[in-house]
Amino acid sequence: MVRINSAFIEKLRSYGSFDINACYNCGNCTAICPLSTENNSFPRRMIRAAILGLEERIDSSVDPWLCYYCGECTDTCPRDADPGGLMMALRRYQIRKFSVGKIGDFFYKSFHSFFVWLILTLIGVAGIFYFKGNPDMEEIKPLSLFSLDLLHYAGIIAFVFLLVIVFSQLYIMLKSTNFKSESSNKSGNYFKTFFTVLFREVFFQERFEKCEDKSRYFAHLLLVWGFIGLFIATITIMMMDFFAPHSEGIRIIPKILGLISGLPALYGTLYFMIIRAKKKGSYAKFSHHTDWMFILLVFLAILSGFALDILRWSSLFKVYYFTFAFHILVVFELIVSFPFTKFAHILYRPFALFLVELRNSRK
Amino acid sequence: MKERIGVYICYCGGNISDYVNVNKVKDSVKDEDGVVLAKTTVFACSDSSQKEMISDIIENKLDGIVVASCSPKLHLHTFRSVAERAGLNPYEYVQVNIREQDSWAHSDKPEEATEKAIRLVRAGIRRLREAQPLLPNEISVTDSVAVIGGGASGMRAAIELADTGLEVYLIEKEHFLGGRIPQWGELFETNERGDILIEKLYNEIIKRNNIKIFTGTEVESFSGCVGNFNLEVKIKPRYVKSGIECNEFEKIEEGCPVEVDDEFNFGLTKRKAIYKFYKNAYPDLPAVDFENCTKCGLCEKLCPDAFDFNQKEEKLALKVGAVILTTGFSPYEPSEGEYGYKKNDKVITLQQLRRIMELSNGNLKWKGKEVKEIAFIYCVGSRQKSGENKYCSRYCCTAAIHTSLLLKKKYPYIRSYHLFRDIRTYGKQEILYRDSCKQGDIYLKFDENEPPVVEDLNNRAIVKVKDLLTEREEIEIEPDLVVLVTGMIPRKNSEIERIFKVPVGRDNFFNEIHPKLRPVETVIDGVFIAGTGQGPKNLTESILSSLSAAAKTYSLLSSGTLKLEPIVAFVDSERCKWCGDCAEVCLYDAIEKENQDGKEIAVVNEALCKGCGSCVPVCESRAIEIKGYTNKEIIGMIDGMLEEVR
Repeated sequence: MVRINSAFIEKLRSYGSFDINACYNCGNCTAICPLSTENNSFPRRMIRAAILGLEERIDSSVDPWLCYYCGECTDTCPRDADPGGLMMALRRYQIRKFSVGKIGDFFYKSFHSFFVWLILTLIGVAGIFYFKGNPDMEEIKPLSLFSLDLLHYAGIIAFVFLLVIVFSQLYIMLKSTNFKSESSNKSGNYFKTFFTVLFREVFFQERFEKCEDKSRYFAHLLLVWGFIGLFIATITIMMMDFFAPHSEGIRIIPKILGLISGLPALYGTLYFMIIRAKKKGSYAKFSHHTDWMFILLVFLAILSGFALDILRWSSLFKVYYFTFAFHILVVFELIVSFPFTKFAHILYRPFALFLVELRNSRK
Repeated sequence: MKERIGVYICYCGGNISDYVNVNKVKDSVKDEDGVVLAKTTVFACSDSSQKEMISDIIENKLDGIVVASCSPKLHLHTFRSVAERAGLNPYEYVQVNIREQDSWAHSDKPEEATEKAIRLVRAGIRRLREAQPLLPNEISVTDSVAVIGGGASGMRAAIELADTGLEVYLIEKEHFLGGRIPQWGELFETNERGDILIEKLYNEIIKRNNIKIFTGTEVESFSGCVGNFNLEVKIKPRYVKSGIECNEFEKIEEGCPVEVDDEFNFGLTKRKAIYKFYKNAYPDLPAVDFENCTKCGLCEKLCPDAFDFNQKEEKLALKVGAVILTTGFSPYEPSEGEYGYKKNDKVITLQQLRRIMELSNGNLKWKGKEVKEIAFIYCVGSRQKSGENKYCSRYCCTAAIHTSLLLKKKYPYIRSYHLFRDIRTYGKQEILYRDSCKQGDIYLKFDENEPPVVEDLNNRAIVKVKDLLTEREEIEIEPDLVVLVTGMIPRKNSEIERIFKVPVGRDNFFNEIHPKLRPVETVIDGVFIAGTGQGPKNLTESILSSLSAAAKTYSLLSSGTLKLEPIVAFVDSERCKWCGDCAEVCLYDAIEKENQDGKEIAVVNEALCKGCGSCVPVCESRAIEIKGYTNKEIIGMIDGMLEEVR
């Protein structure tokens, strides 16, 4: 027995633009969807749950994460109900809903949070200069701005914090999906499924490739690879700084990796910024403030990273140090806030696919 | 007796000749008595074949033709016209069906089929031998028409008919015109008010002095034949005189001590013994409900000249050429307990809701409580799985959806739930469905085998429905009002059915002759049907049918005379000894006793007779026969059929 909660759809409205009440249940959205299958059929079910306000059904569903928002459903909808927009809104809703301690509320409530974040960052930069305002002005030495200890402890704290948050949030998602592990599932199966999802969906984005607009898929794939490359490069340099501070020669390798990875990531970011700004296609027709927040953060992080590489060869020491502080803070913010922002999709989407794969492998 | 007969055997492409040996048929009938010409033809109905037949008739001086081809339903008139164009009487032609009744039916037995064809053709020849030329009966008609039922359809038809110059009698049972349309307030698609539409029609009616309005009038009897009907009507007194100035009607109504259920508001309110259905009801004159009147004398005290309690019931005989029945519908009345109706006081019908909306000021309230959530249950009394009403009532989906749009406009906080089976907002009405979805109405689809349940819980109504759109999940709603979207049933008018002898269908609505090609005619010539008495319709469709009935009426009466089918019964006055048997079996009251030179015999009213033949077999003295199917013709056919095929 379920009660209709008609207020729910109003609540959902703050997460995106859609007119899902216009739906007359024709099912074209599900029929046209290149990703919907017999076992995992969407978005129709979610539409119905949203209209009736069946909150539990929505919280317990991984359907929103199976959708890559190609917009086919929205373009086909005879009632202009924008099912794709609804699925996107549901992803935003779930990110906020699953966030630990309602931290997601801060980012999702309004665009103001972005400015708060910006001001905090600038205060942070100022603070760094205030407390450690005597960087080396003879020669560019990034570490003269930060003490290695500061980085070290900040890193450890952030790592522990993220580890706790990520697992808590995955646990929250797992709980709300009512996913039950069965004895028939051997641990080998879990590993196999995990790696299948990792390779197919994370590294090669196989599902995204099924969307008809290949340029979006391509841009996203470049962004993912660029990100992975940048991540590896950053971690390697940090490790080198920590474990082998005087190994100048080999440092060139992660630096080159960083440069090579930065370019596709920059392309991907610019691509998404442009289609969002131009409102090109149903996917980009509406942008939530959290979309812009995420994309701007990534853009600023990559841009400041490139700026550092250029400034390194200049004599604008002050500018360099300022940019460096800014870059470090943006990256830090990006990483620390990732479970509560749009960035969290790198957490939920693979996990949702993992659960679906597990469920399907049982059948 | 015909002595120069032409016979044509048709191949019908191969439809006939693939199974029937048409040449053998031709050869075995060519020497029959009276046959001078026998031919086969590939397509008898083709233009060249028709021309050939005409020249054959003229050249060979034929006095009749037989065409053995398809069913007369298809080409009877084609070949009658061939005969006529060649100078014969159209009835000097006989069609023999060797396709539907032979080649198609016996495609597995070609030899037997051929033999059957020979017998059939021979029978046709024998019949034609005895055939007589027949001429249509011509009668003059009365140029007036009665419209029974003064709702929107009847009023619209009356206006149209009056403009053709016919005299129109608009007969309404109630004391006020308009029927059900003024009950609904704003109507869908145009959002015009029903009472305003009726006012417009009324103003048009009174502009025309060839429309006579009879209110409070019922039909007593109906006789005569097409073109010349006699109608007897009974006029109930209104007890209020027209043309007398009285400004106290409101005061009188207020002061009247009587209170009875107001049928116009479906018993939701009370009315007085002096009443009008609604404020701007027409004719703009109250009526007195004498049965419930206590004769207190208040009205006469306030307006002594306006009342006349000596008025008596009046009977009137009208002569009309045709009748249009626009008797309308009643909303389906749910049985007690159907979805909690009459058991749970939160359950009402859509029609009642419309009256409540009309009568309420400020917020929408029901039984003193403000209404915020409404559940509409669709298809109540329509598309019944078990029950008489198998049909879809056509207007109710749109009416319910339009109601929810009106509600939202007036009371934006109201939320509507629609528990439906299928949404049938056809044509432009679909836009209303879209608007309703967009305003946030929630639609839940139920299976006819698992209809919603309305539970009574301490004066609350809990509606439970298994929603097909949500994987049959059982959904629970607790609305402030459960509205049963009831369909249409015909007005309780068994008297009209009996008096006019118009057949009704299994759905109890009046039956037309052909739903597609003759949609407003009945089997009674000169009696037309229109509006919702014929079947569920919305106002647009009702008016369409009433205008089409008006057009049919005019085309029937416009020439002043009527040509009637000559195939009717006739009486041999020598043989007839008047026993009355024929009159008794006649379905059309076409046979009457008449005194002819001191002898009582049966006489056929040719205008009423349909030529059905019921009277022929009951006549012991073989005095009554049907033209075109005389005993000689029939016996000839039987002989032709039975004779061995060599």
